[in-house]
Parts: sequence; C-alpha cells; structure tokens
Amino acid sequence: MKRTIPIVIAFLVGMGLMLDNFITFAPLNTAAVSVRSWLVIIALFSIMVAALNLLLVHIPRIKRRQGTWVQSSVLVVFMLLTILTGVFMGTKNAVYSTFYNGILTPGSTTVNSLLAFFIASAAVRTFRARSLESSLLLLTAILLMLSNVTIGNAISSVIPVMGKWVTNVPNATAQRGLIITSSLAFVTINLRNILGLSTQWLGGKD
Amino acid sequence: MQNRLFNPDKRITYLLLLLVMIFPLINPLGIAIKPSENTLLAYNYVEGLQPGSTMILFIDFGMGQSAELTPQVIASLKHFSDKGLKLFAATQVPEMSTALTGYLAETYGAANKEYGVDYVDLGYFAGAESAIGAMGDSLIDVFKADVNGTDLTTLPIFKSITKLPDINVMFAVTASGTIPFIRQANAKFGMPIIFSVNAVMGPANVPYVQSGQAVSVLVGSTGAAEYETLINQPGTASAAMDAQSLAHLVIILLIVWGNIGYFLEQRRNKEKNA
Repeated sequence: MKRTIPIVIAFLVGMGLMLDNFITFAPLNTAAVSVRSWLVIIALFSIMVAALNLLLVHIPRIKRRQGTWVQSSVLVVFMLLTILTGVFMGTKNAVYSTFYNGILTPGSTTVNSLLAFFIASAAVRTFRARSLESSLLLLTAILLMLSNVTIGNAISSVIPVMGKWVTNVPNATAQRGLIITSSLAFVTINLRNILGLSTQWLGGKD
Repeated sequence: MQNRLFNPDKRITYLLLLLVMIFPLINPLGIAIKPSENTLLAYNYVEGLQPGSTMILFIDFGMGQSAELTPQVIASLKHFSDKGLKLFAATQVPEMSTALTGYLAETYGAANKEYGVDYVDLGYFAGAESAIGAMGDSLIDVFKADVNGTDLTTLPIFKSITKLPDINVMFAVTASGTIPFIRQANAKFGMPIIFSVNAVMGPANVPYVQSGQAVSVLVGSTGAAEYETLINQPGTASAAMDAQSLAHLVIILLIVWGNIGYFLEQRRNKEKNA
C-alpha cells in the first residue's frame, strides 16, 4: 500500500498531463491546468527544504568542531544574516546590497573565473598529438579557439569561415544524434516511471 | 631540463594568462569585432519587430555565470528598449532576482520607459520547466504579483496578455539548458525563441537554429561583444574581447610549445632505442 498509492498517483498525474497535450476534453484540460500550477507550489517548498537541509548538514559539523567547521560557520552565519536582512529590511536596503554586491557577486564570479585557468593549464598539459585522432582533435580545437574570438578574423578571414563550417556541419550532425538519443532515453525513463515499471524514485531497486 | 622547459609549471601558465589578460584591459588593442551569422540573425529578427511587440525575458543563470552572460542581457535589453518592445522579465534562479532589477534599471529605467506600461519585473518564479508549462495556461496564476507586490491585473502591460502564447517572442538567457524552453514554448505554441548561452553550450544548440526551433543562439561574451557592435553601444563585452583573444592565443602557443617538446622527446627515445 505504501508503494502502491504513490505509483497510482504518479500514473494518473503523468498520464493526465500527457493526454492533455493530445486530447481536447474540458475536465481533463481544466485539471491539467490546476496540476501545473500545483507543481510551482511544490517547487517553492523544495527551496525551503534545501535551505533547511543546508543547516542540518552544517550545524552538527560546527557543534562537533569537525572537518571544515570554520567554513561551515561562515556559511551558516552569512546565510542567516542574508535571510534576516532580506526578510526584515527588504532587498533594496544598503546592508542587503552590501552582502549581494560586495560578497555574493564577486565571490561567485571569481570562483567561476578560476575555471578558465584550470582548463587552460589542463589543455596545455594534455593536448598532445599522440595519434591521428588526437592530432585531429588538437587541430580542430586550435581552429575553433581562434574562430570564436576576434583575433581569428584579424589573423585571417578564412579562420571564422572554417570554424563556422566545423560548428555547423560535423558538430551539428553529432549533436543532433546526441539530442535524439537522449530525448528517446528521457521519454523511456519517464514512461517507465509513469507506468510504475521503475520505482527508483520511491527508493526501489529497479 | 628539457622536460621542464616544454612542460612548464602550471603556475607559469597561470601567470602568463593573468598578464596577457590584464595588459589589454589597460591598453586596449582595438581588434575589430565582426558580427557572426548567429548574432546577425538575432539582431535582424529584433529589428524586424514592430514597436509595441511583446518580449518575455527569462534569466536562467546563476551569479557564477553572470560575468559571461550579463553583457548580453544588457546589450539585448538596450536594443529592445530602443525598439520600443514591451518587456516581461523573470528569473528562475533565486539569487538573480536582485540582479534582474538592476538590469532593468540600467536599460529600460535609464531610457525613461514607464514601469507597468513598457516593462514589468516579475522577479523570481519557482518550478523551472513546470512553471513555464503553467505559464502556457496563465501568466497571472504563476506570478500573481510583480517583484514589488503589485497585483499584475492592475498593470496596463497585462491588458491583452494573459498567458505565454500571447507574447510575441521569448529571449532566454540560460546556462543550464535550452531544452525546457523549446519543449514548453516552441514545441507547444510555436513561440519564437532567441537564446543566449555561455560559450560551452553554443555548439550543442546549433541544431535548434538549423531546425528553426530557435531564431538564434548568441554565444558567450563574443556574442555579446558582437551585439554591442551592432547596436553601436560598446560595453564590458567589447572591452573584454582583446583580453580573451590574447588569452586564447597564449593557450594555443603553449599547446604548440608542449607538442614540440613531445615530438623532440619521441625522437630522442627512438634514437636511444635504435
């Protein structure tokens, strides 16, 4: 019963939303509109759960002074400060703006920007023309790196043309295959979930 | 010794990159920016829209990707504002709600467009693809109020707009994927979508432009710089192009240098074994 009821609900909701796309039947269409708006409410609760989960993970670490508890303390303190400031003082006041523009924005963009250095050093160390395939990969990478920035056109007007051909022909062909196969896999997995053939989402084994 | 020469410490790579990126920011080289086909597609499409046409903007990137995608948002919003397009703006990333308000203030606000008539800030919405699907039934039911808490039914911009298909065009700036927008907007309602994505996602979205499911895909900072050139308002993306160009060139030269060392080592090993 514990597993049957959720499977039945998933079947009814999944089939209903799927059929809504193909059938004009007023009660079904009206119900589908309501269900779609319920999903938004459920998503809002999931954000609350995510925030609570963060606290549940980090607060025990701080209490036990284990591992990276200092970083956990910083996270919890700033998380609570931001929430309290935003809720009680609004998001347009100076304190919130300082947190947002002075800490969140530069911190997040800096961490992401570091990736550029890591990728660059990894590329320099690993891109070697060891075989025909790796040589082709190397040459294509160099061509695309030049064609995707302004200096490529400054070196030669042929570079962007060649880069565009690589992007629009062999790349698009391969991507199309990937998109179709991944879409078919997506449909299969979701059909299995809707029909109750797969219960992994319930903690099942298959 | 040779190994160290041709496989330098990664700190040397980092330092070289840092120097070549800082230099053009201080002394711009002025390398010409030539708009690509994709950027021209997007620009010409917007140019073809009549003043008063409606556009919905979705911000679907986090603060980490904002350095790459914000210039595109700003350039596009300036263009939409100049064209007199009515804008509905929303984000599905909680932390970007404040940033979105800033983008609108910098573009539509600075152009003295009237809030509630020419543009509206719908703020954050939860539910991602599910919410976009729900917008196909009713925008008002999904958002209820704008970011300031004003009832949407009292805003003039919503006079003839009740659901997503009523809006002429979608502009989705995303770092997580274009498929949800294509599934819920283009596949269901045939809504034209212009995408702006970060550079790594550009090649994967080419098939959607070729199939007509997307009007265009603007790619990374380069797309933003090209767009700034087309609207004749250079901004942060244009300023960063020289740095990006030199950084790419340095990486290529280091890769070639490493390969020279690799071939020399191979030859040395062959001679040793011969």
